[in-house]
Amino acid sequence: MKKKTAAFLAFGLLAQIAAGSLWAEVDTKSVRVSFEVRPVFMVKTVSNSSGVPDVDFGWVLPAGDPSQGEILDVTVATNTVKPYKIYQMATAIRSDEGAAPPESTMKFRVTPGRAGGETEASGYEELKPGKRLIFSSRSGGGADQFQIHYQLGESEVLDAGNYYGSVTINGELS
Amino acid sequence: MSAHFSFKASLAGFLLVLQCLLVPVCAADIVSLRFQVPSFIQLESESSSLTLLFSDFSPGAESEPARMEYMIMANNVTRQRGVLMAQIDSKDPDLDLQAQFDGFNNLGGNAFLVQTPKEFVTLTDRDVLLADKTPVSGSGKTVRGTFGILYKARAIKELTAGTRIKTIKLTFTDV
Repeated sequence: MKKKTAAFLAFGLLAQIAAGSLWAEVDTKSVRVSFEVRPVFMVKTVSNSSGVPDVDFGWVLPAGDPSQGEILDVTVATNTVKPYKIYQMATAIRSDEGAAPPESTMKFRVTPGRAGGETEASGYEELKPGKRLIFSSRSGGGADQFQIHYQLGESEVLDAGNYYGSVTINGELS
Repeated sequence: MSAHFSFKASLAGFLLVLQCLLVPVCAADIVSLRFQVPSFIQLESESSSLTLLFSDFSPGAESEPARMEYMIMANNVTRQRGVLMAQIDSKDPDLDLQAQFDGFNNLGGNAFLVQTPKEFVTLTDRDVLLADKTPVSGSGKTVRGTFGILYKARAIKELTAGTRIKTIKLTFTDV
């Protein structure tokens, strides 16, 4: 058995010497590589003034001031060619004492997309809790950018305090 | 049986991987909204002066009443009693200056001012109560509206002809 193995190894060695590969200084192997690019559809939001996903009006006048506004920059990054819709899901705004300001306290509007998407809220309207369609892509989909303008309403006197709420900006492919 | 299960598991795994590759990922962004409202009181009068005219100079004579309109805006009024008070800089030995709360017109607050004494009260150099607060809805801590104060003077002694000047200080307190 050992003799057979030794003979086999010796034969293999001789064959490589004959082919010249055993003493070669370069050897190559080819590997086939395939790439899978995942379809991506992402919505990113940042405050136009602070650069973070946070809309902070700071101190505001109790009776409201229409000049007190904040802008949210929304960027849709996608490599799909499908049309999509962007939704805003808002929660109720409450003070740290649990007081709810009047619904008209905060308003918003949405600008058209730079790449041709259409706004679904072109004029200022009340920010109500719940889901609201705010933007539709052009028919072929594709990346786009738009802004959401938030504004504090006027006419109502607000209780003193710190007020909090949130909005979720989400997209859905059509 | 085992081979059948193994095939099903492999198929499920394959489909899961396929789904991950084909379904786009959409990361939703949550944005916080925040603002702060400071405690605030603003009390304004329509005019900075008023004149009380006497047509009689004898003791007990009263001047014609004069009404002054005020505007109030406050957003943290936790006090209920005596939110509105008045005083004069010094008392005149010859006459009494009197005041009475004369109606509140709500312009969007959730609390009203209500007249406390139902008649004219004599002002002194210490605060005299003119109105309380009554919550009507919500937090009951915001007061926004206009109100009037009626002023009149009453002679204690015979009055010499001439002009007398006094300063009335109206104070709104929220705590």
